[in-house]
Amino acid sequence: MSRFTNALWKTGSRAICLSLLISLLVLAGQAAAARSTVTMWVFPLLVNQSDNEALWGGLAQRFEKQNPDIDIQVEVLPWAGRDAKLTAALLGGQGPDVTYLIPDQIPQYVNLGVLEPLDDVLTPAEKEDYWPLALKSVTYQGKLYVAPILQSAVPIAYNKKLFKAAGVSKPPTTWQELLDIAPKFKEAGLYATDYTAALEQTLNMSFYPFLWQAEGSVFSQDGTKAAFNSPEGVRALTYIVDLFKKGYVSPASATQMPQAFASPFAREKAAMDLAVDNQTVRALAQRGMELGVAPPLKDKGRVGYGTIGGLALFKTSKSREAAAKWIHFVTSPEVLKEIDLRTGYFAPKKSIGKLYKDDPLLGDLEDTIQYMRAGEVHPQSRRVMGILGPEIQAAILGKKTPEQALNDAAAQVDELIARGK
Amino acid sequence: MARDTQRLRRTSLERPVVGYFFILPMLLMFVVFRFGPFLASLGLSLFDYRFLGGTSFVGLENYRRLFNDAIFWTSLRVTVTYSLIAVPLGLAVAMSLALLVKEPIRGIGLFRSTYFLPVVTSMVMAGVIWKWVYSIDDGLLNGLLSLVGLPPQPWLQSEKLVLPSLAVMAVWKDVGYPMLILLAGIQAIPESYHEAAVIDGANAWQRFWRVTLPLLRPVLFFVLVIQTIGSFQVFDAVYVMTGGGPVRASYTLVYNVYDNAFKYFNFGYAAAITVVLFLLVFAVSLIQRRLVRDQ
Repeated sequence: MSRFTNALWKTGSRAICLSLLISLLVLAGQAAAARSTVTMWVFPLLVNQSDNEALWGGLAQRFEKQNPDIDIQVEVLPWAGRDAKLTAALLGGQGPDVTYLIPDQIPQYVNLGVLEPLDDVLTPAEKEDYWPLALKSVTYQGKLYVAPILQSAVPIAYNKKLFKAAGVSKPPTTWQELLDIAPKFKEAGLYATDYTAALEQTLNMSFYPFLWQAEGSVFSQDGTKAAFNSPEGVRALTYIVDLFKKGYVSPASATQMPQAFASPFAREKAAMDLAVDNQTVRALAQRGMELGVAPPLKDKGRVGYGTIGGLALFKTSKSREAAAKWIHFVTSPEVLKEIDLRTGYFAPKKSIGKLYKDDPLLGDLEDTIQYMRAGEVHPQSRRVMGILGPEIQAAILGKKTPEQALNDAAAQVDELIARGK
Repeated sequence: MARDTQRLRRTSLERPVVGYFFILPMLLMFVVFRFGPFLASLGLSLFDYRFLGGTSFVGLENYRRLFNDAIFWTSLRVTVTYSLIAVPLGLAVAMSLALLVKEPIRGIGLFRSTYFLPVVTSMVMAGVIWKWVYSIDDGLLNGLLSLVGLPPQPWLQSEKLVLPSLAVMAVWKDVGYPMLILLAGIQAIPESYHEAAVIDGANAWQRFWRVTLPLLRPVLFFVLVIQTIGSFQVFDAVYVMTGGGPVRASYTLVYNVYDNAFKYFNFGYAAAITVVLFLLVFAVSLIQRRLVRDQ
C-alpha cells in the first residue's frame, strides 16, 4: 500500500474510534438524566405561528414545573398534508407520542393499528364531564380514541358592509332565501357567497353541509355503500352548480384554493362565506371586517359542520405514562378553558359551560353549535373525499351533470368499500 | 526501461484499490439510499403492507388492480402528455438561451446567473408566485391580456390549458440547469471547426445545424434523459398549484403515488405505481438512446 493509503487508514480509524467514544459519552449523559420526553404535534389553532408556539410553550413550561422528570416538546405543523407527514414519521419510527386529531381521521389510524384507546387513560370523572356528543364523535368501534379539547362551528359568515351596500337587511336562513337575495349582490358587482371546490379543500367545509341540509348522507346506514348519489345528494349538488352557473360564486373558487386572507370573502368581493371556522372569523374581525355570523342554512334540515378536536396517543410512544399525564393536564378544565378562550373555540366540557356570553361575535357563533355535525366517521372517509372532490368539480365546471358525477363517484366508492382498502 | 515498466505495473495495480476507496462513500450512499429503497419498493409492491403487523403477500394483485384502475390510466396519460409538452419546450428554450449566453461579451455572467437563479429558488415559493401569475381574476398574465383587450384565460382552471401552463412554469423554473450543460457542451467544440465551416462558406444556420448540433449529440442525449426523467416525476408544482385539478387534468403519476401512500396508506399499491413509473422511464430512456446516440 502506498504511503497515502496508509495515512488514510490511520487517520480514518482514529476518527472512527473518536466518534464512537463521543457517541458513547452522549448516550451515557442521556441515560443519567433519565427524563422522559413527550413530543406532541399540533396544528395551528391560531393564525400566527408565534401565537401557537406561545400558547403551547407556556403550557409545556407549566407542566414541566409540576413534573420535573418530563420534557414536553410541542411542534406546530401546517394543516395541509398532515396525514402524509404523520404517516411518514410513524413509518420512520420518528412519530410523535401525542397528536391533535379530529373524528374523521380516527378510523384510518385505527386500521393502521397505531392508535391507543383512551378508555382507561381518562378517568370516569373526566369522561363524565364531557358533553355526550363530544365523546360520541371521537368513539370508533366502541372505543374512545381522542381526548377532546375543543369544539368548532362553521356558520354563515357575512360581511355587514357589503350587505348594506347591496340593500340586503339580514343573512339568509334557507337555500331559497339565499337564491332570493343573491341577484342583489350580483347587481352590486359582488359575489353572493363563496364556495371553494378546489381539490385541496375538505368536503366537510364544502359539499357535505349541503348534503346534510338536504337530509342526504355520505354513506349508507351500515357503511357498506355510498349514499351521496341519492336524490338528496343530486339536489344538493344541483343547488351548488346553480350558484356557480348564475354567477353568484367566483368562477376561480371552482378550482383555486385561496392563500390565507385572499379568498373572495376576505377580499370583500363575496358577501358571505360558508366555510370559515372560529379562528378565521376572529382573525377577519380583528382585521377590521364588519363581520356577522348566522346559523347554517336550512333546506330540509338545518345542519352545519363543526368538529371536535383533541389529543390522541400513539401505540408507538415510548413514554406512554408521561404522555398520559400530559393529556390529563391539557384536558383539565382550567387548562381547557384557557386554550379555548385564547383560540376562540368552544369548550367540550360541561363544567366549563359557555365561554363567550359577552362577546357579540363568538357569542352568536357559540349559539350555532347545536346545529353542527362532526365529519363522516368511516374507514374510507378521507379516501372518499379524494374520489368525490374531482367529480363535484366536474359537475361545477359543466363537464358532467350532477347526477352523472355523483353516480360515477359512487361506483368508485362502492368498489373501494367492497375491496376494503 | 525495465524500471519504468515495473513502476507502470505497480501503479496500475494500485490504482483500482485507491480509486474504489475514493468512490466508496458515494457508492455506499447510492446502495443505501437509492438501490436499497428501489429493491425494497419492488418487494413492497407484492405485499399488502400494514403498519403494525398483518402484512400479507399478495403476489401480482396490486398490479392487476392497477391495470383496472381508471385513475391510474388517467394519471399515466396526464404524465405522458405533460412530458410531451415540457421536454421539447424545455430543450428548445435551454438551447436558445445557451446560444444566447455563449458569447463572451462583457457582463454575460450576469445573464447566465439570472437565467440560473430560478433553479435555486424553492419550488413552493415559485409555485405560490406563479399561482398568482396565472390567477383567473387578478393574475399578472390576465392583467396583461386585458391591456391589449383580450379576455381573461383560465390558465389553471381549464383542462386544456392546465398542463401547458404547468409546463411553462416548470421550464421557467428549471431551464437554467440544461442551459448550463448545453453551454459547456457548446464551448467544448473547438473553434477551428467553425472557422473551417466559415471558410467553406457555411452561414450561421448551417454552422449550427451541421457543426454544433452533431457535435453536441452526447450532451444533448444527457440533457434529454435528465429532462425526461424530471418531467415524468413532476409533483411539487402540481401539489402547490392545482392539487391535481381541475378534475384530475393535472393528476400525475407521482401525485397518485403520494395520495395512495401517504393519504390512503396503501403502500403496496403505491409501490406498484412507482415500479411502473420506473419501467416507463427506463424504456423511454432506452428509446431516446437509440434515437439520439447510436446514429
